Amino acid sequence: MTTFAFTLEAFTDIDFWIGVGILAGTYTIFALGLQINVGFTGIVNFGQAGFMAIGAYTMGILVVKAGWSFWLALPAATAVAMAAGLLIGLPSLRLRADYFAIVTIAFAEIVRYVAQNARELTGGNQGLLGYDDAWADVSFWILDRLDAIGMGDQFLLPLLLVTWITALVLIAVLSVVQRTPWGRVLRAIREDEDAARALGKNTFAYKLQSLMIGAALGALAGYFLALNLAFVSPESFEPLFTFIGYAVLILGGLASYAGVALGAIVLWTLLEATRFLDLPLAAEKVAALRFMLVGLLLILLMAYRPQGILGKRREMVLGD
Amino acid sequence: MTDDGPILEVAGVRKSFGGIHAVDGATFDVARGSITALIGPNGAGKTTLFNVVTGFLRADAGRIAYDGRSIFRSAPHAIARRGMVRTFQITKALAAMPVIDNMMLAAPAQPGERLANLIMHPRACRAREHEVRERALERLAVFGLADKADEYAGTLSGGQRKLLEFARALMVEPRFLLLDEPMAGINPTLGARLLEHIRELRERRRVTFLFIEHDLEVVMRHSDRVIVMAQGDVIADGDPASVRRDQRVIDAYLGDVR
Amino acid sequence: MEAGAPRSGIAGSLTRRALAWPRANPAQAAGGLLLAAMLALAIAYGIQPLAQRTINGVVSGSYFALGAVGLTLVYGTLKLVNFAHGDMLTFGAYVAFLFNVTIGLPIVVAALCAIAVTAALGVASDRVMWRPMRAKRAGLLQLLLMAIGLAFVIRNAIQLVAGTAPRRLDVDVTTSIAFLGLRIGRTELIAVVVGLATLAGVVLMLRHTLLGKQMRALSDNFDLAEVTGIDTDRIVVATWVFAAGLAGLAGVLLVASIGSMTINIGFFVLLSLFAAVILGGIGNAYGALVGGMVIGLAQEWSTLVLDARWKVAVGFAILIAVLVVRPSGIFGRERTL
Repeated sequence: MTTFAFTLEAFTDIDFWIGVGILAGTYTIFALGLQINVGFTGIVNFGQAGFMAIGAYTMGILVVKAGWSFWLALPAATAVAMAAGLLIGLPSLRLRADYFAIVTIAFAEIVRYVAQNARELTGGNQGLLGYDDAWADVSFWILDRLDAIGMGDQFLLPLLLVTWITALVLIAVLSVVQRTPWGRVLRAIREDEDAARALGKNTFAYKLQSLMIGAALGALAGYFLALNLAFVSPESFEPLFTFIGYAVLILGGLASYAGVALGAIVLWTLLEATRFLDLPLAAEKVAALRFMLVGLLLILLMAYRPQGILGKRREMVLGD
Repeated sequence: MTDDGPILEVAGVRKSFGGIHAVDGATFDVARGSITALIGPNGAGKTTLFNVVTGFLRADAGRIAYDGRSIFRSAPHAIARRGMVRTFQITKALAAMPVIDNMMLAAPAQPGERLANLIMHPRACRAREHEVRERALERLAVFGLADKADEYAGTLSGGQRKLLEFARALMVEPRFLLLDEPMAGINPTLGARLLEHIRELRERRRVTFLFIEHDLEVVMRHSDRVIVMAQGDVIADGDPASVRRDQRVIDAYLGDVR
Repeated sequence: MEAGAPRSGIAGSLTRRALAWPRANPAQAAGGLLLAAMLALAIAYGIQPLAQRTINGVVSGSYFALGAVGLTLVYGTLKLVNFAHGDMLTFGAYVAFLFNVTIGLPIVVAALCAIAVTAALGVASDRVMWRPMRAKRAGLLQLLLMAIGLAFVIRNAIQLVAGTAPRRLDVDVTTSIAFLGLRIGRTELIAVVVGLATLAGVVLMLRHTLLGKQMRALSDNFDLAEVTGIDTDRIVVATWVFAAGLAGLAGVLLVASIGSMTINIGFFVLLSLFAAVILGGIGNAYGALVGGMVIGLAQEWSTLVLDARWKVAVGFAILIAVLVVRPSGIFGRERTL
């Protein structure tokens, strides 16, 4: 019988929580894009990791290869991600949902593929680094301020703060926008697109807008990922991460933007906590276990509680 | 925009699915301000014709003109915007949205439906939203659904949903309303009220109606004109009395027209 | 005004007819396109390189076709886009490894075991996951995410047991046969023969046996088939046995041809399988067969023009192109209401 120990002290380790917090915040932003797509417009975007990659790589390439300022690269890369959303959406948003899912996942894989193979531009599998000098300056400035409360040596704390401030602002903005007539049209499209069209709504245009906003949010998440890791490589953008995003989305429920934050915190706490299980397994196998759990979580949630923690059964339209 | 002349002209419209000719050369006009019934046995192609005429399906051949302009290639939302609104045989009440949202969705000219306007003209958006809400509540009251305004549309009964769909279609301020079995599942009293509304709208605002209906009593008593379809073809087109006597119609229904 | 025609006159009607012809005869149009591509490549790069690539394309096309037929059968009968199908290929390959390398049985026996065990996995997934979901009338998003979840579970369970190091089957990868200036590996040749023979068998089964006809009936209209008294449950099990079994075989042939396996090979191939399925018309087994071959050929031919590392992207590009131009694929019917 194998024995394993569980170090509870891990939970008081502030580094652990900062790490979890940054991942949770990044994935909140990532999954907010999925929420507007799936939860509020009804389009099944399986390519969110691709938009994340486009955002992160474009920013990195502009800064490192083209010498742009980091602060200018951010909006430019976001625009590129949105353009990609437009490009993918135009021919495929009129397809049925499962075909659209396939197209988006193919798109994300193509992006990753290009990142792996266009070595001169993206660094290939070795990745891209050196774009975060401007951020480092800001980070140190924040750390100086934090010195006043004795937290000046928590190196990643500024990133945590900025990530979460961004996430919370986005949640607030999206929640407000959702209650507008524009948001109402999106919800109607999710409910029944033909009904919305019969009432004079150009549903295609709205779906495109939703996809582009989702792409922008994916790109934004990409920047935080890039700053967290300090380098960008293709393996950070495997389809696995899109589906971790879906696990976050479903956990928090398809009904609210705030729920996404809850789902992200819960999932990443669980995933990172598995690091502290002292299992007699090699590291790669522990990783396999973690992702197996993600898969199981998706299956069980979809089978038994598709509305997630915060969703209401009535609000949920996963069936036809 | 001509003030006379038919509001809808359909000529030689054909639509097939694989080997099935759902609509096979349908030709008819709908006069402005008329109440026209479209009847026929099941499978005659009536709903397919509706789908084709309102842009949800592309016809294989033929000519379709609304207000004198061709709508053969128009998208359904563009057709709805020009005042031609349809309802569905199986109601499409947006079940997971509140009744009031269903209604407000349908209102035309909402600046708040565009992101650019939300950012640049927030006050105009809010003002119109108020207006729309008032209007929606009034309409709901007319149909006895006001107390359900904040309930999810999915909690309504079948008949109430039909009413909601009708009321919602009216919010669009249509000039031409195509109703697919508007009376199905509604109790006779409500049904009578619905017909009153239809007559009123026709008298006061010259709204044209084309409806698919199976209750031949209703058809005979309330429509100006009856179009009969069978097997994808229009087999009769005239006033109720003459259609009732038409041999081809009687044959199509196997002698069940009274 | 004529029926929606943008142009009039003789030139107009000729143009219209020219544009309408591919729509009405998609199979011939696709065949013509393929032939034209072959001709162009032969002229530009020479017959020998083209012929060599064609052989390679037939090799990969045969296991693509096996995988695609299974994927399309499951979709056809159960309307399920099985994102876990690629991982069933991986599963088959690793089971074969278990029997062939770890236990030491000959490859043929190991392959048969792989087919059997994968088929069992397919049936198990239906009993445990898909059947309860059918009963609950689960919606599209639920099914898609569950399939993804299953894919993760299978893939990572394999990694948990076998680790990430690449594995090889105990097959001869060096001997090759040369003829007419072309070469093919001996194992590859066997793989192609086995693959094509199996495909032929599947086609015959679907066309001539009662089971095959019932499977096609279910694929056409599940509810109607149920009403006519067909034992749908039995057919569903049979469908999974075939689909998963073919996937297992495809996995073995894939690894035998490529030489090594990692846990990702199945997913890697999945998108090419989707391309094949959609190209052929989803739900259509013959279409999947043709689609698989075409994708295999297209990918190999592309190496004449592009660097070999872009090979897989060609499959994706075809997928997107088909969905944009004719989502119902070569053999599919245009959407009905």
